[in-house]
Amino acid sequence: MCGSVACGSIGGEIVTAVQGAVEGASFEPGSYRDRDGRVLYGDSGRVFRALSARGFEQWQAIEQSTFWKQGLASGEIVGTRPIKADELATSGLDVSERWVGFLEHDRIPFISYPYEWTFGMLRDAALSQLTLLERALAEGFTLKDGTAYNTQWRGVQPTFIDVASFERWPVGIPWTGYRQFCQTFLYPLFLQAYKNVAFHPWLRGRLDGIAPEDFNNLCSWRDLFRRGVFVHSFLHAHLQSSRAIGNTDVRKSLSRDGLEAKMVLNTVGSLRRLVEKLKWKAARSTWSDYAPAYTDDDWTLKQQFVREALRQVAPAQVWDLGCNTGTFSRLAAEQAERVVALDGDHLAVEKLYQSLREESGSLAARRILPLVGNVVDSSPDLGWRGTERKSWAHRGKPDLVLALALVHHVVLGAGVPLAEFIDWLANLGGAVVLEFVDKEDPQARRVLHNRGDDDPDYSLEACVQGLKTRFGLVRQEPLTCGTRTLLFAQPR
Amino acid sequence: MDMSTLAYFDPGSGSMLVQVLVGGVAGALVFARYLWEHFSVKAWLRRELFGASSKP
Repeated sequence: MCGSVACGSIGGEIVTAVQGAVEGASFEPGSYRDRDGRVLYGDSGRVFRALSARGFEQWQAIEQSTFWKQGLASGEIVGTRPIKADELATSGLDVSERWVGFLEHDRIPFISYPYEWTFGMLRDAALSQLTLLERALAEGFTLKDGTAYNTQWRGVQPTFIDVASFERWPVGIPWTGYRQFCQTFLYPLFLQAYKNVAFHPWLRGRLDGIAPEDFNNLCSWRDLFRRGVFVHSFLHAHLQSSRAIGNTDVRKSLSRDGLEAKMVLNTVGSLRRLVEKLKWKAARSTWSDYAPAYTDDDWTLKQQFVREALRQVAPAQVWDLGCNTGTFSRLAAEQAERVVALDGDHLAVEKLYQSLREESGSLAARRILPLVGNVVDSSPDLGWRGTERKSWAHRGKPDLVLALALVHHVVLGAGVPLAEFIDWLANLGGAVVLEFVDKEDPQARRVLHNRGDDDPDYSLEACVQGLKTRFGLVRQEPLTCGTRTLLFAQPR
Repeated sequence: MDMSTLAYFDPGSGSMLVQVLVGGVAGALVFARYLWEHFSVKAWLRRELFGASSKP
């Protein structure tokens, strides 16, 4: 995949200038594989793509196509404009003669990765790519890869970012992105739909996704009768591991044997129908049906408190950590342009995603990005030199963090010292609304039920003191239940 | 014939082959033809049916 993390509002501190081939240019470090196109950053977070002579020639043909224009208009393809080289110069970039064409892309509000998406998001991203590919093939173009990392999100709308992946279909050649598609889309979806196993650690553990041989080894005989498994996993794995086949020039043979565009189109259509039928039938999880027992007064108080914090900070970007099904993410989206809604409970986030999809076009659906993530096991820096895929803090800076009824999970549940948690929140750089949950609260007791209370440092006083030390003034609002307190702290 | 596609990763021989199978009847025929050409199916049939030597 090239430029898969291309179009991001990445914090300035991590946009590492890669000196060498192109002096002075600030390349996206994750965009290095494709020799025909690289992503660069300019001033004020502008995102550019430099194209080689070959890449530029392909782009000029693609620009005229109907599928391209349709994809741009619908937002299925990231907003892209050709620009002149002197615009790059005014943006503080100096590019070498290797690059002959330049594009500018719209910024993606917050870069996310497939190992942070819900099942529905991965499925919709797959369908979006396959639909684009079908339209491209009908006009004589193809995608040279098929990785899930080529999709990003604007709210809950998937958008294809790696525009340099489109090229003219080389006559007689099957879809070269098929294996990547299986590894980063199809097998993870199979895993969740057929085995009810979360795909996230598999994708996070190996950026290339799940190898056909590995997925095949996970399958039982019964699984071979599930839709798509026999061909895309069993046969695929065996053909892929066949030394005899590996020694032949398959591309040349298939081309000589008369592989036509229609057959490739059939393959892609068949994959699309297969993915459309995949369903994850998880009925419930620990937190997906969680209905906190607030009194009406407390609920109103909590909403007012968060609203007041939003009004005071006027944030562009909010992170709602432990968002559950997104009640307060929606509240934040009334003011903030970008809301990252994170929760470790896959089903709860899936519910949020599906509800936002149903109201596509609404303010919340355009602004909220639901992601599966655990504060105490967050996405790390990964890949080549640890810069291809980035940790949360390296992808953006929240102006306001909502940590509502999260602290007892992190401190009492996961054992992170309270002071460390406050320190981590402060390092994110924004203001914080924290709902402190006392040890006597029924939810805290539930967390402590099997392990007992062994944390003498966990108290409201310690929390307030920690926030004061790291932030400054702290506003407090106790809830009437007597076991919860809302705290608002702004950086000095 | 344009064979100029430049994949920056290995698309996989088996991966390219297996997808042809789901490309409809015509695709399956191309798949069968590949096996016929490359895996001595022709030679095996000749040997079985006509007792001819499969040695080159």
